[in-house]
Amino acid sequence: MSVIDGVQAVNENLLAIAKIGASAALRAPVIAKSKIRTEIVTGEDLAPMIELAGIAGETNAFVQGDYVVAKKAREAGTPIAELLIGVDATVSDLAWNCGACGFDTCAEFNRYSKEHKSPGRFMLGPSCNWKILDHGMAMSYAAAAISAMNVECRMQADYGSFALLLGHLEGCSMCIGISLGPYGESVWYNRAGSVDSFTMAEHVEFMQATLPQMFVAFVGDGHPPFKSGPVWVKDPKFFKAVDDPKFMAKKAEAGARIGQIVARERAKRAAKKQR
Amino acid sequence: MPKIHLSDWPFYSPADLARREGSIAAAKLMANAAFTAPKSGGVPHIECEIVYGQEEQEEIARKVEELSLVNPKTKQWKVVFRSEAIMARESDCILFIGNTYAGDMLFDVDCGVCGGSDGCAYVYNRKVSEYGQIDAFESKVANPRRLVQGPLCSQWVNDLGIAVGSAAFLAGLLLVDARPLIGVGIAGQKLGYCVNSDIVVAVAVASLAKNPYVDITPDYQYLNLNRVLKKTRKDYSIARMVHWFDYRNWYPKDTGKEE
Repeated sequence: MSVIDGVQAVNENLLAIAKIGASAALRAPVIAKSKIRTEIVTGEDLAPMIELAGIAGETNAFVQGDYVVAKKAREAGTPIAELLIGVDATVSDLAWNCGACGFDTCAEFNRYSKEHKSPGRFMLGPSCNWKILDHGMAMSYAAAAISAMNVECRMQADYGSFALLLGHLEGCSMCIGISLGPYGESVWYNRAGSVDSFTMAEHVEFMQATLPQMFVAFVGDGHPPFKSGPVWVKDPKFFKAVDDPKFMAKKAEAGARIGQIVARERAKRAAKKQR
Repeated sequence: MPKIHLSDWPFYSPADLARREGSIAAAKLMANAAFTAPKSGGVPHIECEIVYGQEEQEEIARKVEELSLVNPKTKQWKVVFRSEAIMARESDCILFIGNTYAGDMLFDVDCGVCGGSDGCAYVYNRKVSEYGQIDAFESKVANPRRLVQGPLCSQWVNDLGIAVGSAAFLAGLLLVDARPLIGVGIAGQKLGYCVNSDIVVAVAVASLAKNPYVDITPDYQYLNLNRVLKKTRKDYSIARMVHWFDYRNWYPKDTGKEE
């Protein structure tokens, strides 16, 4: 008889649960002949994705949050597993001519896609929307199956996009990752990792940028002041769209580092394939 | 003590209507699952409508049949739509799930899914827009020839897929048969269901001995149950009177049979 540490057992089980998620994704209904592909990434193979998340997170709060959870899970010895679900939606083999892509016919869309297929911030496009819908259904089945096993999970486009950059699911235009674990209650909501991650001043500045209409004073005189404080009239300030060269330079620098890591990891994958 | 008798025959009998109540209850929970499904940014983006009843489902089926003719060069389109028209008739109810953001309130993250490196401009440049906003009315009517008023924000379409998947997954757990049907979704949208949505998917729901959405015959419009029953009624009516039998006065002899 042996005694197995519960935490260790739960975390070792993530791969098995990820497989259940993958099988659910492949079992989901398909209405547009989509070829749904899956891949599970664990252990050291996850490290480059988390590294990219850390760099992207320097200028993206959403990604930063996803990075912190994954990083802290690794440090605690309870690393996440990543289930990648992807599809190539840049070609339509349907001949439905429905218009959802913005073209009257699938043939026109395919011609446009052949010439203009390119990456956006996260994924490649353009896309046949019915194949994107199929991808969503597969994602949902996977997440529901994992959740039914009482394992925390969360769909994350950032990890999906990093996976594509690093060469996973080659040929897919759209990929979203489902992070499984770490164990615990709602680790991806009310995130414990976000403790002290921002000050109140940073929060207020973010709210002012996000919901400026909440901070605008009387608009009737045509030049509304901004409620910079309780007595804003004594120190009037006004909203205006301005450049932020410091932020854009930071973003560009982070992008360059991401490019270097992607090149490094792709070279490693190519070398591994040759062996 | 009151009792509820449930049966699947005859169609639309009180016992059958009582049985359908279970599917309708399942559809309501499936709608809940669609609402709570994961979605980008936690933004409330969908609406649902549950439609049931002989008249309503017949209207939907006829619209699906009408749409089966819009793509005459695509044989598979006609096969899918003619088959799904029958499924619409044979369902206990239909859950329509629509996305209310995909046409005129983009996610604005420049993800690239809809248009590649153009980012969100792919959609903004193809629709009537000002102030970084899309005209909600023109977005829905600009291209009357199109079945779906694209282009759409594919981020929201993916979320719609997640919602539909969530509903379908719950159906499996509730042990009711359910399937997303593209033809019924487009027909439902044309009929005005989920009127605020830019793209609608139908999930047909049924609790019958045989799942009506699988294992159908080719040329299903000729060989479905309703057609077989209609033909049987005709053949039986004619066959019954062929011998002009007067049941009051005689009975056919058993010729060739030993006493």
